[in-house]
Amino acid sequence: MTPSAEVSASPYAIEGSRVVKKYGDLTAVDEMDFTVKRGEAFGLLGPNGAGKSTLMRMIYCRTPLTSGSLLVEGWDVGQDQKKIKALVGVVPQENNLDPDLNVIENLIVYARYFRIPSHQAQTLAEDLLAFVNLGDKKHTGVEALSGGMKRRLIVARALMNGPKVLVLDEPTTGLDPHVRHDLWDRLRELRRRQITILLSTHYLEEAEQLCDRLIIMDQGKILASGKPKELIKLNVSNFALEIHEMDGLKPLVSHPEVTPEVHGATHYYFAPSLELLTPLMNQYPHHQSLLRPANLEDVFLKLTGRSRLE
Amino acid sequence: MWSCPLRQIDWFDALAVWRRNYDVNLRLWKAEVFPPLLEPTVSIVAFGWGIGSLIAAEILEMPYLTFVAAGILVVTGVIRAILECTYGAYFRMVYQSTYDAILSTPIGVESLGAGEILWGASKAAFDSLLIMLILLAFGVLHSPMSLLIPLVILLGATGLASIAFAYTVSISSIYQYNYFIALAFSSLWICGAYFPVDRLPLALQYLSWSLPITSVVDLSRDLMTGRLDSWSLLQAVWILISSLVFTDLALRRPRGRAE
Repeated sequence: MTPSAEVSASPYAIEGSRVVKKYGDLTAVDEMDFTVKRGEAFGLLGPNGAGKSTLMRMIYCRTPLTSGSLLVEGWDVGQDQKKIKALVGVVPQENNLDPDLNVIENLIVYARYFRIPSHQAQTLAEDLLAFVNLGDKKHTGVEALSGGMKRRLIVARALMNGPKVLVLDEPTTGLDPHVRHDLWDRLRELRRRQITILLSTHYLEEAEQLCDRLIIMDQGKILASGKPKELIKLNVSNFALEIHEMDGLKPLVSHPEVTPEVHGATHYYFAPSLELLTPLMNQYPHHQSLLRPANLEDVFLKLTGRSRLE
Repeated sequence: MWSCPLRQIDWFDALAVWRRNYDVNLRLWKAEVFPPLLEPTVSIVAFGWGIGSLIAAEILEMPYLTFVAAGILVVTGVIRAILECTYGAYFRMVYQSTYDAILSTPIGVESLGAGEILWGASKAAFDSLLIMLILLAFGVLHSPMSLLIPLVILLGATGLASIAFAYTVSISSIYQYNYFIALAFSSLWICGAYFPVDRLPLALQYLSWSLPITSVVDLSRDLMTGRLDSWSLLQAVWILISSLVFTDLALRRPRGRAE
């Protein structure tokens, strides 16, 4: 059986329509509409508790929807879990490698869950270990691996079934910059291979670097969606000036195109050109300031509230 | 609507879960094979020779050593199945997140549960095979029908492993096993392993025969001595039915937790 002809022709790897997930009185995902195109890298951004992990768990059929519809590669998550799970690779937020098995056994045993014949699994596992630079750790126990190596092994494991969609829930949280950049390189390579990537992250730089499109969500709702650069331009302009230790001072209104924002003891000014911001910086020669291109973090903080404390 | 979780099991998937545990045990085979043999061997010596020497008369027309050997064989196997589907399963589920990884693959909750339960029961059967080698040395395997005992233990342990597994997926703390272990291990003292059930007060006799483990002990003893009759057949049917029912009931539990 295959998805209906209409659905197969769809350019979307994931289509969510009025997706709702409730846990008792708590609405974790609240009527979300979104689509992820085949072969694109799609980001989910949001503070802790925004509903990112819940949405991902619904996509890989670990958590049922309360209402709405969700299709993955044309299959319905409510009806076709087995088919969807066969097409999706999952990198969960928490390490769940099997500590009772060594590195290569982790991949081979996992392959069995997808009914991959053992001789094929062995070759595949060796190829993937080479891909994630763990070729020399084949027979090492999982507990002896560093945090970065464990993440790389989980990525390799998620690729064992040759997924069409790779779901990564905060894949680089807690990793040092070297390891993070290394993992980004692997993900870029996978994107070149036309694997659809769905990624949630707290690192805005990660989202800017890797994602073709993204959504910013909070409290189960989409606050904004689009390409990273468009989101920045649309929400906060091209450049930002931060001036610190401004307790009690009011922001200056220097030009109609300059947008000021106050968050705690820091003033933020956003403008389409640097020339509009330098005079402002010169007004406060004794304060620590930073003139920089606006980034996704500004959008994120603006939309989800800079003062939000968790 | 009435649904039957047994029908949701994909046996190929359940076997993949079983194989995972088998592979791990194969890696640790020295620790898995020898230590579990020590305790039953000492038990057979202590009960069979020690206490047995104080019991002049034969019990049910067999020496006490033979009588108690059948009991120890079953009890040891069953304890193994219970431990595998309580602490063993809990570690895999909570501390190692093994279930979390497995459920992100095409394996369904019911197949995972079936694989785990079957694994617990298989360990009971495997241990009973090893202990039977020791019983052979003690000269208490009187009938070739003894070869069927691991099968009876496999079947009976499936029911107990199911109850243990259902409890495992229902608890929120490992300390809650104190209740389960207290109940389960207590029942092993009144299942006819160490003395005939008819020595108990009548109420406890009813309780004892209502436990499938009592039938597993009795049937295993019948096979060991080659004294099969229609009562043995009835017990086999009871073990089969109770195990199927317990497995079905157990597999209704994990879905809620998994989601």
